[in-house]
Amino acid sequence: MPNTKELARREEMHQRFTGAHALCAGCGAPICVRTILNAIEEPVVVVNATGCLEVATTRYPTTAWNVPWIHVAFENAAAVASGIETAYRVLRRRGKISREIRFVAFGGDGGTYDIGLQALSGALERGHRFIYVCYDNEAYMNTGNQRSGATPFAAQTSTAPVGERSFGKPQRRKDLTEIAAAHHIPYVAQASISDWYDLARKARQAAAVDGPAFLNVLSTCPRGWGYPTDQAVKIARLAVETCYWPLYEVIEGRWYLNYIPEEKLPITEWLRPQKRFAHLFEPQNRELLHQIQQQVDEAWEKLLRKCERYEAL
Amino acid sequence: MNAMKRYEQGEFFLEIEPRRCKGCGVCVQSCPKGVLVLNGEGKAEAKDIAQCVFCGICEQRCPDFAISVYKVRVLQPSWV
Amino acid sequence: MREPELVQGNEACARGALYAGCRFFAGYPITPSSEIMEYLAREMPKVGGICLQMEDEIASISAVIGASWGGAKAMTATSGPGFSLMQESIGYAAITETPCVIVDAQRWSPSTGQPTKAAQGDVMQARWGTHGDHPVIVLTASWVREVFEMTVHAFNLSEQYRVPVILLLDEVLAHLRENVILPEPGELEVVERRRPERLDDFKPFSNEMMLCFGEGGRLMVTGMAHDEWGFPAQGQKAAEQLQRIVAKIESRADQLALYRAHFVDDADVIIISYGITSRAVEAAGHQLRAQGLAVGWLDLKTLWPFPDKLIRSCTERAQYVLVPELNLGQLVREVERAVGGRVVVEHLGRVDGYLITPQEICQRVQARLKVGVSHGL
Repeated sequence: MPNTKELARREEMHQRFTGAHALCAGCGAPICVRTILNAIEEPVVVVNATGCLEVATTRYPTTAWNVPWIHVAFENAAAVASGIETAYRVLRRRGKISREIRFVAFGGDGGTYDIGLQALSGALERGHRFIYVCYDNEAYMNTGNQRSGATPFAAQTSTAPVGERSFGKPQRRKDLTEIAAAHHIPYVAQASISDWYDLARKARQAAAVDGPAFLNVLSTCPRGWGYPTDQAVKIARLAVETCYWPLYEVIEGRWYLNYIPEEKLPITEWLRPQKRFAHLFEPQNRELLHQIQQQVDEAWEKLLRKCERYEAL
Repeated sequence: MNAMKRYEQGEFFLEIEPRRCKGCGVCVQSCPKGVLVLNGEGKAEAKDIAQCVFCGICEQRCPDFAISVYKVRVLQPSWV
Repeated sequence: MREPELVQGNEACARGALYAGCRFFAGYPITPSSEIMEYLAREMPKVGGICLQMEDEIASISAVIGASWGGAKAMTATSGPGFSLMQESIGYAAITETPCVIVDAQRWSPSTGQPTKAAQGDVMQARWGTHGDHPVIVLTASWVREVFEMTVHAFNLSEQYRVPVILLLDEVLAHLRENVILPEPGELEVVERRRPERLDDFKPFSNEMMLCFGEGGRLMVTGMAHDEWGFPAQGQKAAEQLQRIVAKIESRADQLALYRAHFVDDADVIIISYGITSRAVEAAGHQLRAQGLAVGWLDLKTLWPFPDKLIRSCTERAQYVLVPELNLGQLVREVERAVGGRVVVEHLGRVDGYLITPQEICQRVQARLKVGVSHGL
């Protein structure tokens, strides 16, 4: 497993993903991408679905990608990765390629939870050796903050707006990490940009398994979530400390929790700093806050029961 | 001023490239020693390099690759 | 006298839909049409309607079809990439005679293209994007107020003829804001679908009356070739149905042809355009006429069924026809076909993401007139 010094030195020697992209100040996505690409030891090919990351890193006439990179469309990152990986296996079998290469697909929550779910499920089911990384900013941010299957209950978005009768998104978000685990793939993990080393370790673990790996990474969005740009890591950390976004892994079907907060913070600590939840702090919405706390508590309890306790390295 | 800012502490260096810095402030927030601030132009800079322990958290967290933390040494690539 | 308000093209479309009685919208975020869904997410519930954001465009058009059979006037909005995903179901709507409106705010294409640049590259796709022979009506607009009017018109045609109607906009018009006075209730006609009076011998797929779910009749809807009852059919019966459904629209090409004609009666040069390009043609046409040139222009609102007769009659006395469009040549092919070689037809295209300017049009016309127009140019 990597150590921090080694990871820092690797990036010094070869930056796979570079700066001068057009992602917003304080965006979580580049933190996620650079950490993951840097942690993987082998050469990589990147497949990128349409979204903030794809658009803002490839604006004419520049690119922030210093690795082979393909963008096909919105819904098919996993399907394209399947094709590339299969062709690679054929060429290896025929002796035309001898190097170990890793295939990493990046998609936002829009392109993974919703329109990309079919392609992801198919790729996981067929067992391709690739890593799918979902950088989850909990809405369709690139097109202007519309709700997605990853948008949390009661969050405000442009297509689930807050009004006299509406309190934001009436549905709960999907648990995509669990959906991925239900495909019985060798490695599934939930990570956050706040826990950098944990994310790097998970990326390396994902690269090491002989089969599909899925990483769901909470990737904060200052513009869509409504908080000052310097709070990106802090907000992501609050998600973990409130047990809203637990850090865990599913290795060969066995669940391991990576972090148990010493003091589980109330969910209001996560909600309060974000404008998209501001309406929840009005007196008439107190019941919603209770509901949300209950949802988090139930999910956390369920996860605790599922996991064999495991200390993070 | 758009020139790269370079700070020294013995053989350790901290560099900030203002043209890359978007002034998000994540590095300022992340620094365990409170070394960094956003200046009048909204760009990151080190207010007291003597406090820096060169842990590299700011470099690793920066979404825009604007900070570089390194020790002067001969680089020998161990992998391609 | 009502005050004008600053309205965005997309907003005008959404408001036109509500005006026409649309009470169901299912869509998916895509630049440059997302604002239509955002507006309806806020306003649709206020009039007792439903706006659903679906998981992708295939789901969106599917939900629209379902809602239409549930009795509602239903609409979706998208751009090129989403329009491509919807094609299978557009064909379904055509063959099952499902009223629905599909708005395509065209962007530079193909593929992801340039989401924030205007284009007119989906014209042929709007007609032939789905597999098989099928009817479809395609409308377009050039001004924000027209977007409102054409949206209402799209619903009217869709409900009257039980056919999917596609409204082609473009990125510039969708995002443009203009000072407009939008129609008051009652100002524009709103057409409702005709429902059968008697159910006992009513054949759901034989004419333009529509039976919906929950109205007491036996209903089976399938995209398989089917007879007047909706049961799967083959051979001659399937052929008859297909021919009836296609002829339903194609035979009405003349009466469906909406357009604005300016100075076409005495013109040597006719400029035929549609959508956002017509705005430049308007300016260019006036400029050229001010120079004493006999120029006329035709701004098409109905693109499909293509108005053959209108094109032929307008170009009867012309020496030269110019078709400017933001593509590499789509509608121009239909114009060429309609005039049948009687007059020179030329294309003026632009695909660098910017609009065709009045200057470009003037320069082209002047160049042609100077050189002289003859066959073999």
